[in-house]
Amino acid sequence: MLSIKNLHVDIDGTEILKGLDLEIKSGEVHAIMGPNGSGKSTLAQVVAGREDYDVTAGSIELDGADLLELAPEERAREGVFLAFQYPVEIPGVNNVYLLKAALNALRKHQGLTEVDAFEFLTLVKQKMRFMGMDESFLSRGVNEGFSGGEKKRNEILQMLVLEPRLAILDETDSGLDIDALKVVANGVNSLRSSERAIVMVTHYQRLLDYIEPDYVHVLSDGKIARTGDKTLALQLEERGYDWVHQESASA
Amino acid sequence: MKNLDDATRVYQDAFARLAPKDEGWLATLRQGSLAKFLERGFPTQREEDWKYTSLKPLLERQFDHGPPQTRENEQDIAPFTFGDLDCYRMVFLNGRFASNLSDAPILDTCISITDMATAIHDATDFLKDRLAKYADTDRHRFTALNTAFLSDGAVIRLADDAVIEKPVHLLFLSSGVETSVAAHPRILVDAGRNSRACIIEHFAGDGRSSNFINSVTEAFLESGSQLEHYKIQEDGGSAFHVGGLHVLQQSDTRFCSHNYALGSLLARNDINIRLNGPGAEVLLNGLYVVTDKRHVDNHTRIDHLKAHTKSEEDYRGVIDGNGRAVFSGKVVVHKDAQKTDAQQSNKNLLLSKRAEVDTKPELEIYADDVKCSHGATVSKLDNNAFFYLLSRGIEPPAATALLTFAFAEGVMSRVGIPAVHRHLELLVRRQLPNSGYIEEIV
Repeated sequence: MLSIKNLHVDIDGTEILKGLDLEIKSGEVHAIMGPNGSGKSTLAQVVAGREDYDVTAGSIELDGADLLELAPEERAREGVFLAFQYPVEIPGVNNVYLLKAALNALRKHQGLTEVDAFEFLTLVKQKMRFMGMDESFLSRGVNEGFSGGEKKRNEILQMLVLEPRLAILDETDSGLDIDALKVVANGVNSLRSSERAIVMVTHYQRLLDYIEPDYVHVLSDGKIARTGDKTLALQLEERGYDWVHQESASA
Repeated sequence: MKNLDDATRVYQDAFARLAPKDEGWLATLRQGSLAKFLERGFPTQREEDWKYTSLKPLLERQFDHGPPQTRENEQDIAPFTFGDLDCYRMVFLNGRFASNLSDAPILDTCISITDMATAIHDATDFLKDRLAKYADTDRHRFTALNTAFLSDGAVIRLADDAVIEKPVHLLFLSSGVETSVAAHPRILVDAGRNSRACIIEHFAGDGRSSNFINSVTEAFLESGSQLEHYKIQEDGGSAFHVGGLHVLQQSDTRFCSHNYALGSLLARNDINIRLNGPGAEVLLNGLYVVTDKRHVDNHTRIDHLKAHTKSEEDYRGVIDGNGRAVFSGKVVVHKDAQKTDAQQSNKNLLLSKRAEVDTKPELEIYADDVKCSHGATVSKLDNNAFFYLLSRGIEPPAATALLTFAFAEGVMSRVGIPAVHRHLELLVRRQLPNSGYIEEIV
């Protein structure tokens, strides 16, 4: 589904990704781990289409289509979803109306009719219950005055409603207590399906106890330094990132 | 183009034609004010307070000072009633009180809401004592001009402990295409001890007239009183608006101003607050949306005269097209005003390369134990937030409109009357670029 080849990315003249390769198939769940500054978040943002980054070489394809040719909003409509590490507060813009606009943009692109208000509200309320969100969130502004945990739940709520083909979770576990982490993990697990791929960018192994990945990649110095199954995450927890870094440097 | 002396003379002639000769105390006040105005004439850009605002478009025009030739009815005011908000309403047509469209006069033992012409006719000692007492006609020449032409407006008086439960809505409707009209409405508010009221000054027009409104409001807040004050200015894009708000606050009072400059070709507001007793607190909220070739200038000044006084100011502006905005916020902490708490912020969002803003926060502190801060920013839309919306499939023009709306909402969220809040949201939305994209979202 997602094929990244030899990806080189600069920001303000500094190279962050230095020839990254990654293949993700439908139905798979991948975890991308790595120390701070290794380029994890950059990768997530570049796939979603953030324009502050310069892609200097390489390619990103989604089911054979060149993703780099598409604007961020077009990628969203093609089914790419990024759950933000720091979701943005937009006061005065209703959380649920925005979600409805997002869903309708998607449906229009797919040649479907817009959802009617009642149908949509029923769907959102059901997903909100699942995410342990109070109905008062229906009338609030986008992330306006939400706590850190509420913002992350809201990201997953959006994901559940939009049902993306490719979901990228950027540090979704950061700042969550154990109860919130379980709720978020539940939400993500409910989306696991053979038609969908999920990529989790994370610093810690903890999230992977709840969302079991098929593959774990370690990002180091702008490249995938090592790939393994979930046991790799446990090894990392034990031995630290320096171990991978040294191995890849000596290889 | 006429020079300034000619422009000044036009008003002198109008005064000579209009002013009644036989009103004793008021004639003295008017003539004195006219003299003050004539002495210095209209402000010029050589003066610091007018550096960024040219009055040329105003002074090039001729305005009729005569009685209005309008016959508005209920239907004409309907768009400006906040969906028939339950309130005491006074309607003014080109500055003249229209009793047939108004609820006033309201006269009971502790509340009095009446039109200024009637108050002048009754000439009570109260009016003689209070009118033009604190509105500074030496410093503010438009206030002097307003006082020279003082003939109509509103007088709102609350006895000690009186509470006006409903907002008082003063609707100034501007109309007329053939001739441009000048009006100088005057509002006097006197809030007795521990009284409470909410007043909405609302300037609206038919959108085509190029009238000149020069309004002045004086408010006195006796100890313990609370006044919520709205000024909503939605005159059409060829109107001229100059407004002065002069407030004197005694101890433990609270004054909250909501100043919305959303119309006019040229608008200038001067807000002067004097905190004259411990525990006096003022909140100034302001929003200006400046599009096309419009010009909005807000000058605020807060004088902390006594100890333990507090002021908070949050002004925001959205400037698009060839629009130009000016903000000057002065806070003076006098030497007796220890323990003053003064916070001020002015944020501007520039949406076009041709838009311009001049912002000048200014602190003058003569006391040593105070907590003061101020800040001014001029910026474009936040990249993070913009990308967040795009990543949800929202079109870039819609994202621009949404984020601009959200920026304005930061001020609008403090509007406590839901019907007024909705009205303002609609007004703001209409002026945003690409507003059609976001109708279903906000």
